[in-house]
Amino acid sequence: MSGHDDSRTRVERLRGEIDIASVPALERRLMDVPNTLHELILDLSAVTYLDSSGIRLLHDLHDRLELRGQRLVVVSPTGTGPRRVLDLTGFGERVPLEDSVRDGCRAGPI
Amino acid sequence: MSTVRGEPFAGDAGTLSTPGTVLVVDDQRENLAALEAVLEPLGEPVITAESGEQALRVLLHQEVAVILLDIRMPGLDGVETARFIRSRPATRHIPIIFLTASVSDAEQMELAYATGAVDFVIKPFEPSILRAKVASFVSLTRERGERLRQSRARARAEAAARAVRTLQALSDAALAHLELEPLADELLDRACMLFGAGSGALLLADSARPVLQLVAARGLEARGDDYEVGEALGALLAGRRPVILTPEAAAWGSLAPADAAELVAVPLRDGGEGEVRGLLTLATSRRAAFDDADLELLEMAGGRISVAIEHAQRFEHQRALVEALQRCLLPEVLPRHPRFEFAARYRPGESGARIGGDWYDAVALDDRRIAIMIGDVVGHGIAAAARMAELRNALRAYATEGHRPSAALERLERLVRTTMGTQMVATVLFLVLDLATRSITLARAGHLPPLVRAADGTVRVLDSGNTLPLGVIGGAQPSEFTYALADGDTLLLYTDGLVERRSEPIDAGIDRLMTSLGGGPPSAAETCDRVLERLVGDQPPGDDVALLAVHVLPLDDGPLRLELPARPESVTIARHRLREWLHHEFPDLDGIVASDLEVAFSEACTNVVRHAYGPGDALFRAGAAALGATVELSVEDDGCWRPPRGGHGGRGIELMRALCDEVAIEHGPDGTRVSMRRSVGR
Repeated sequence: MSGHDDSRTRVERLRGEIDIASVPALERRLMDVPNTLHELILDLSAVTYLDSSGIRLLHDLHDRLELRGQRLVVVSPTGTGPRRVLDLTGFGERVPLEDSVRDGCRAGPI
Repeated sequence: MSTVRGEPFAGDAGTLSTPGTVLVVDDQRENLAALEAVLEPLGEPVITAESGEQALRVLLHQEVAVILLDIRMPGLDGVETARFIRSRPATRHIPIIFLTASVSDAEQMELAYATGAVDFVIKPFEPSILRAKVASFVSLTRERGERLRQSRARARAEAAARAVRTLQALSDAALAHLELEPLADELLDRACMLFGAGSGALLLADSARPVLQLVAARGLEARGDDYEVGEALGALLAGRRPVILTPEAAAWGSLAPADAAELVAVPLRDGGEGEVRGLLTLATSRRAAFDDADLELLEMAGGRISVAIEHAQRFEHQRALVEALQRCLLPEVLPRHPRFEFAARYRPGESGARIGGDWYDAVALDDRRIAIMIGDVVGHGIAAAARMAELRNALRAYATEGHRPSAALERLERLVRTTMGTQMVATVLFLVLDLATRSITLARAGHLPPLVRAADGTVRVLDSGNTLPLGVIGGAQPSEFTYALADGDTLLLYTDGLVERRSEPIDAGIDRLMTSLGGGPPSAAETCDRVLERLVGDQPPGDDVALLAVHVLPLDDGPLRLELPARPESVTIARHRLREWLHHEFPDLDGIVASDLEVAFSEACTNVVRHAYGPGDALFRAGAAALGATVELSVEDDGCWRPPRGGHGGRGIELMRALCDEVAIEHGPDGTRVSMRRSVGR
């Protein structure tokens, strides 16, 4: 996992498999967001597995950021397993879902 | 040296002639004068006494060859005096000639003979006959003295030989390598045998508490391991010399076995000086079983035993230290993986601080790769173990930083060369196991090649390029070698202690190892145990031995059946096993279909982990079966749950339904069964 930060927008890049076993550690890491941040771009391009435990984490994260007036963008390329799960659960209806980080940045309101 | 108790002539054994002093006892001075005159021509000294009491006093400090004793005397009469003389060991043997006035006194004569008289002279006596009798008894006594001197000299020689034997037996070189407890047993056995004791105990002082610890007992029921050192035991320990105890002694109760009549307690001190190390007790059922010679010898024996015990204690301490150090440095647990089985064994070398610098290590680098290392630092004892720790940690660091095996060994070589100088020579093997492809990439620095046993029992040596050991100048750059392990393969890494025997080339040892590996069972743990049993046996090996085995679990044809604890990690494991099973059953399966099945399977497992049980490690079953071109997944638990409705919680079941053609959830009284089917269109 790696992050990129230009103080208003942060890109968090996740790797590996996100399931019930890996969610607790991820949750501790992702919930720690500075107040000054406008936007968190969560890049799932390198995630090889995602299921409902991960979707639940993403929804929780989105709800939390929304309450704080911050924005979550999820990046997951079309054609991957994680994107299929995101699409099947209608994730994109609630949270901005993009194919690449570049798209994610462009989609921003700023 | 020893003295022989009960001997009359305690003087110098070297004197050749014993004076034939004659003691004449009569209450009448004129009789004494007459007797002196009669005996004078014999040329032997004559001592006179006027009463029985006076005669006894003379005998206390005077050696006498023959006694002329008047029967009728006031006070102690002759018969009573003779009885006293006979009762004392020092004078028992002296011939007594009774002087009596009358032969009619038959009753008294009989009594006198019974008391020990050897002859009678009737007054008035014939001087020449008296002289002849005295002369013959003097010469008898003199001969007897000569015999005694000879036998005493013989006894001394024998005692000296016995002392040498005893002390040798207690400081025998064969004892030198025994550990404390077997040593104590052996020393006690030998002491019992040497001193003719039926039972005994060896008790050692505790440095921290005022107790004696029973370390060896013979013929004695051990009544608890510790003996409180009270007043009585304390006095025995404070003494320098062995002490004979009888049942009246204060310490008797705690030390003596039930049938003992006498017991000797020997404080154990180095050379009779220094701090007391413990107590040796020897007991017999006989009375007066131990004499002065025994006690003197026991004191020396105590010194020897003390030294032997001290060596063993020091040795044991050092050995325990090195062993503890080594154990700390070996990994407590090996990595776990559903498709690989890991096992390792370490056997310290035979006694002595022969524990060496062998080590093995296995570290998970990430989800996909495990680094495995084995090595052997030349040398033994604490220094080797410490250097081993340095190498191990450095190699761990290089491994976790992501260096390839050859690069890691190159760095390690540089580290050894620049920081450890010529003090260190070590062999190392480093490999990285890729869990997904099952391939190993390895590099060696002077270490023996690993072996691989295939499922069909054939064994091969992975004889990749090797370089010189670390610390040996001129080592080439380590080269790398990659090998793909197959289903059912067992990989074995080992140190040279396993195969090296004096007097044979190392290839013979490797051949022996290959033979025992070929016929053995496949599992990692059984492989290690079998190889140790065949090549090392029950005895400690000459050099220490480390070995590590990795077994690739074979994928069976047929359905996948798993039983796992209801924990989050189990979901990951179940999914990975399904992935492998799908790959095995349907090699050309579309990636999206495979991923759909994985998600559906994980969701069903996640439900069990989240909802079916309370805290604890209940089990659940998960499986997959191929029904033609359809895969059936099933997940069963023994708990009680209902699918959560709506919101985030119901998403799992929603996904299962979206990803599979059919989903059935059956709740029964004993649990829930989820079964899902999906066509895989082969």
